[in-house]
Amino acid sequence: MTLLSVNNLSIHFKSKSKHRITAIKKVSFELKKGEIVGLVGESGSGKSTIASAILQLQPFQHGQILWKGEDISAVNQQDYRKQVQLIFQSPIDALNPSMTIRQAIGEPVKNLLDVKDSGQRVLDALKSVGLSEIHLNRYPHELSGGQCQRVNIARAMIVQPELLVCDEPVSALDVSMQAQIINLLVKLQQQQGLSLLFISHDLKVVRYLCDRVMVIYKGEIVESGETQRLYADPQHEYTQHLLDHSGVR
Amino acid sequence: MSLLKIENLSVQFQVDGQPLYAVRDVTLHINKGESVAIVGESGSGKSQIFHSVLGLNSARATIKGEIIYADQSLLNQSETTLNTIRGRHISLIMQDAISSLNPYLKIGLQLTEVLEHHYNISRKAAKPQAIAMLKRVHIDQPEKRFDSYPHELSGGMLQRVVIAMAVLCRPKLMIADEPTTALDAPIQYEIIQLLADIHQQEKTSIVLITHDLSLVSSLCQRIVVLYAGRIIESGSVNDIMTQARHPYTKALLSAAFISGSYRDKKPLQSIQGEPPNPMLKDQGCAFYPRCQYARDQCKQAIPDVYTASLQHQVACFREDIK
Repeated sequence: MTLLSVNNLSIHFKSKSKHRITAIKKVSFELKKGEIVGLVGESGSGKSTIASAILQLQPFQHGQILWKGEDISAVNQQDYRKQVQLIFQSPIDALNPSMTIRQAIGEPVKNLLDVKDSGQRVLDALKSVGLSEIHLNRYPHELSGGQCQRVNIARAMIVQPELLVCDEPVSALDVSMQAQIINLLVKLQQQQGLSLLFISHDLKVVRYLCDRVMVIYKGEIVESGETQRLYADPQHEYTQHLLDHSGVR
Repeated sequence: MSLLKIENLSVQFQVDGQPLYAVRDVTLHINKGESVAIVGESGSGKSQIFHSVLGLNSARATIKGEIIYADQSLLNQSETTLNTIRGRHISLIMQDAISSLNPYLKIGLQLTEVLEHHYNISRKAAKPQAIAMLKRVHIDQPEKRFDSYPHELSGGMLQRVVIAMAVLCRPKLMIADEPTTALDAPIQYEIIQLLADIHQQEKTSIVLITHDLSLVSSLCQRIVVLYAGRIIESGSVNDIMTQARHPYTKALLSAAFISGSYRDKKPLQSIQGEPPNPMLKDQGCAFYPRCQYARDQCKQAIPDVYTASLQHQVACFREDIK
């Protein structure tokens, strides 16, 4: 089943000097239920802009984004937030420093699920990401980067979304912590049939985690395909460049 | 021949009246022209060791031990003395290039002031050298970039500028503290190649501080692995990459070289748990709670170092693990 279709998406920004900058050029792709799709490219290529547009955090001028066949601007906002969640790159910045972990994870339960007593759910969510009661009353600065990223995952997963957009979720972590987080994402994906849009510049992680990969360069998807095929036989010059300089071959 | 000798170095901080052990009894020599990787997780003390070398620790740090650079002790030196060494003999490249440059000053001025300070020459006389160095680190249109502000350059370019600053005075030792962590993968590769190139041509000794073992082999000859403020294994790149003995090093290696696909139903090998609390004095091996090979002995005493081969030393009771 197709969850998300992005059709002919273009996004422009106006600079101070009124120059029109095209950040995203005619991007189209689909994401099916249970699929893990990688979006790779360098800084400034437009990866996060696409993610923001899907999350309705970024208005766009051309094209259409459909969620289960319906235009996202027409979908009920609260429903959409329940179904599509996001994890950011910098685990500590993504959490409110003045909220305890209990409050941070409980917030979407209150806002999106209209459940008054979030206690048990929060604890279950925390346990599902490998943390425990002792972390409930702590503040973000008292946790390591890896632990904060677990909290972000728990916070996103507590509303049981169908699509999780992960914007460089392991880039800010030590390599020793990266594996823990990736294993956790795989576990959640397998248990709940979750779909992932996984944004990264790390081609080793993408090879392990993604079923399909899209390569974006200067706002355009220059190549996409099944992961193993794309890594074995890249067609576009830029994909070849990326692969040659990423220690994957 | 040793260029830098670090002997029995310990660095402690006071946090709420309690000691925090950042570096615990580290002995490490860097030879002339050698390139060494210092590998460890966040909080393992890898940056603190080299901040001690340059006198950059916080004023609250208590430092014990000895640091000798070319027959001169660097601990407890005055700022005036240290400033003749910093940048001139030993330079530092920080992780985050944009925050190590002054946002108000043009790139050119930040380069020429290094030469003005160390060689007592005029800004005008320093300019050609600065531009030549920008060219040396492969910056396009160096004359134009000389007059740019940091925010006008990309992260990769800024890291090249910082490297140019570090090489300007042809130091004997360059310390690169996570120089590529904030950068995209292909740019990481280019920066490591640039450092390797400088190492070869200028015969500069390089210390590469990193958490990612997959970066080191094209640049370094020797690897030192730190855990919780102690050296737990060291050896040639070949020793560590192909015959690592310490369970922690093995785990770091499998974390750095991810292979396969999740569809094979094989989870990635990860290091379970978190690094130990630096506020605790270590009774035994600090890795013991996360180690699958641990025995009772490991919790009771700090393991001695054994020699696995010529250069290859390991601090572990389990000499039987290969």
